[in-house]
Amino acid sequence: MDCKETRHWLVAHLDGELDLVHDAEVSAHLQTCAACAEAARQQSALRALVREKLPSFAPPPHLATRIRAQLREEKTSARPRWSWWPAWNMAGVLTGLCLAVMVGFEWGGQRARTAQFGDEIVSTHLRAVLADHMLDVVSSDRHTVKPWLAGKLDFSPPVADLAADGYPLLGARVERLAGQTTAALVYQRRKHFITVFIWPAATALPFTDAHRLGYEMRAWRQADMNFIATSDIPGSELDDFIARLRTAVAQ
Amino acid sequence: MEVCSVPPAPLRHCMPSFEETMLPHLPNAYNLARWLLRNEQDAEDSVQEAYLRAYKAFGQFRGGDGRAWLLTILRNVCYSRMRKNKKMNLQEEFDESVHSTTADAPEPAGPLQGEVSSELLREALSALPEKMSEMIVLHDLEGLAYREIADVVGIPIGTVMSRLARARGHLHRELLGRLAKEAPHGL
Repeated sequence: MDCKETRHWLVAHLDGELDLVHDAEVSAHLQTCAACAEAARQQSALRALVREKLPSFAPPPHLATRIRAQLREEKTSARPRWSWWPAWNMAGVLTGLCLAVMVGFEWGGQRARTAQFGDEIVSTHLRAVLADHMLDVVSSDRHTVKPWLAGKLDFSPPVADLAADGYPLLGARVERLAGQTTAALVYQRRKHFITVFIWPAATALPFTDAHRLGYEMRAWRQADMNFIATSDIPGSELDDFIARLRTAVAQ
Repeated sequence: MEVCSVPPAPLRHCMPSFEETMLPHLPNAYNLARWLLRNEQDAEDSVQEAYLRAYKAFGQFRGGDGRAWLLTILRNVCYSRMRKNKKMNLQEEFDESVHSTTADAPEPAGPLQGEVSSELLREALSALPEKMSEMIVLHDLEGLAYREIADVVGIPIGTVMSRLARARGHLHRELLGRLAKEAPHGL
């Protein structure tokens, strides 16, 4: 080890912080180099001087008291905060949970009601077809159908004949659907039937387009009325029918 | 020190309390703060603040050397305060790479002649930049090992060694200068 290296490690050597190998090398160099030995003596003397004479500042007696008092204060003021915090936390979590359950319930309920409504529409349509009780009033003349319906219902549904468009009106009946009294208009398309349920839009239309058991269902609102059309004709054809019906109703 | 690492609440009693663990180090803490801040009021306030911070962070204390842990927090408090007091303007520029390790480590200009009083020694150490003087305070007054100083100051252990060597060199020259000024009056 040369002088430069020795000086580099000297402070660690004097402080006893050097690893054994380096420490032995520094010691060996100090044995043979007077200049480095002198530097070591000076540093060693300074180190001893500092340890012997450099004063430590003692804390004033009141400082410990002040700190203890502050810690006590911190403990008492912190305790309620820390004990309340989980409670608030828990309250928040529970509120969130309740909200999630409610929303989920509402959403699930909505879905269930929609599904149920869809089933009801299809089965109503099917029952009428199978029981061969499609119509209470058999007429392709809307001027016959409309007064008949007005006499049975407390509202007057729009009645349009779409024979010119390939969807002749067969007649109508009154049908209970989801607790509503509705007008059920029946149209024909080749060998298939289309039932259009109509009731006032004062109640919500709890339904969106769907298909079930091979039946297409379409729901819409027009002229303050709720409309639901269902049939076993293809969806595209039903859409065509609805477009024509909407045009006729709008006129 | 055997300490449960993260005790559940009912087992907390097996962990020494904050006061048991940390208050014995108050003299060390105050001494460091007093050396760094150089006035009693700032030192007291900083120590108090450090104890409060340490108390709040005590959950993160994993046992081991409570003194080094407390001094680390205290040192941060002190340096924040120094920065706030704008006392750091000159020392801030202290740069390890500029003041390179051993090349310009000031060689003592000669042995110390004459009686060095405690007062003179204190003045000389006070004349050093804080980042120098804290090395001597931590190592020679507080008796911290290089490893502990490295943790407290947040520097590599090699830097502790070279900075301490430079600090002693500075102190030596400061003492020589003061002794030389004193000598004519003394004689």
